[in-house]
Amino acid sequence: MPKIAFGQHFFRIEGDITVKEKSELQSQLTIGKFYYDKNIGKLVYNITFPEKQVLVSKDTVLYHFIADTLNSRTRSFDMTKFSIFNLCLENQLNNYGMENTFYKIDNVEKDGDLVISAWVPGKSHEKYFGKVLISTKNNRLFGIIFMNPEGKIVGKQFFEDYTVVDGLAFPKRMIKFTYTGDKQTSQITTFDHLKLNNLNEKNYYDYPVPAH
Amino acid sequence: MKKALLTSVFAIAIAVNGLFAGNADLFCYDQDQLNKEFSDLDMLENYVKINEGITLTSLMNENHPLIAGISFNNPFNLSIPFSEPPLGIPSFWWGCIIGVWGVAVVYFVTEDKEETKQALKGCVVGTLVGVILYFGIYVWALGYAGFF
Repeated sequence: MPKIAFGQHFFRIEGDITVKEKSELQSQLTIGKFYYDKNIGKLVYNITFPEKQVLVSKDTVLYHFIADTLNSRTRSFDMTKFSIFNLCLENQLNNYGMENTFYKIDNVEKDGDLVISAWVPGKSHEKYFGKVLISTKNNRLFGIIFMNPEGKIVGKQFFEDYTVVDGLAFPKRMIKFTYTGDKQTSQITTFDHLKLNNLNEKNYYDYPVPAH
Repeated sequence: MKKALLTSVFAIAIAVNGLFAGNADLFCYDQDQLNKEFSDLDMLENYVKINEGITLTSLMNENHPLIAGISFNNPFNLSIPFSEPPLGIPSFWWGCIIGVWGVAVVYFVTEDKEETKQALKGCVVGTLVGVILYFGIYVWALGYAGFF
């Protein structure tokens, strides 16, 4: 089917993914492919390293398959809605989808080449959630800073090396820092060979999971 | 007059500068430090990508130098155990009250080993209680009939 038939409506994205993580004591390297179809709502990781396995996130359940057999089913936070894949397909990456949350925009400022917007949680959530700062550079998401209710920075995320696939801008590199007490965890996620609206690979985009 | 005007201009400049400055400093990190920190994982990543199909287990089995000194953790530890039993009724009671069929229901509905174990425990307890009750009633009935 010619690309023009889809216009600007993107509903599927896939590509290679590599996640490297370092904390004080441990390291992690995960390599594989990801598949996401926003209409199906499943985020599927076909992992080849450290071991061959498939992870499927749907709603708040994470399914773990080894050799196509369900190994475990665990409850998780909803990884799909606020995944970079969904935010990109929904064209909400610039504000990280904050408009659809209990956060409200507090102010916007320009600092050098960054436009920084400050988001604060609604009254009923400010006891548990802190301010979030979102910066854009050249009209693309550049970084996010998460604070706790006391105003201390608990996480930073950077979106770099943007590529444009069929007109859709996507960061090929994400850097994430998480601060727990005086400990820091660093994570680098890279994407490659991105493909949009691939009508093949249905076996991954709609990877079968138990119906309940 | 000139002095007052100059002061006002300065005041406005400081106010504007204060309004538009500050938070950009938070959006930075040490790129060199990060590269240094991840150099061992970068080498491992390149090796794995060249040698398609290789796994951590195979590297461990051959004591590969690229994984020496790296302590790997479970990458999928963000989740918590799923333990929602069928219809919200604890799996133990499915096994205890409905017996083997209850275990089957839990097994097929949850596909969760822990939940199925709970149902099995319930099944064993339920069966034991049933047997004890059966003999208790039997003994009571015999006694009531004057056999003791």
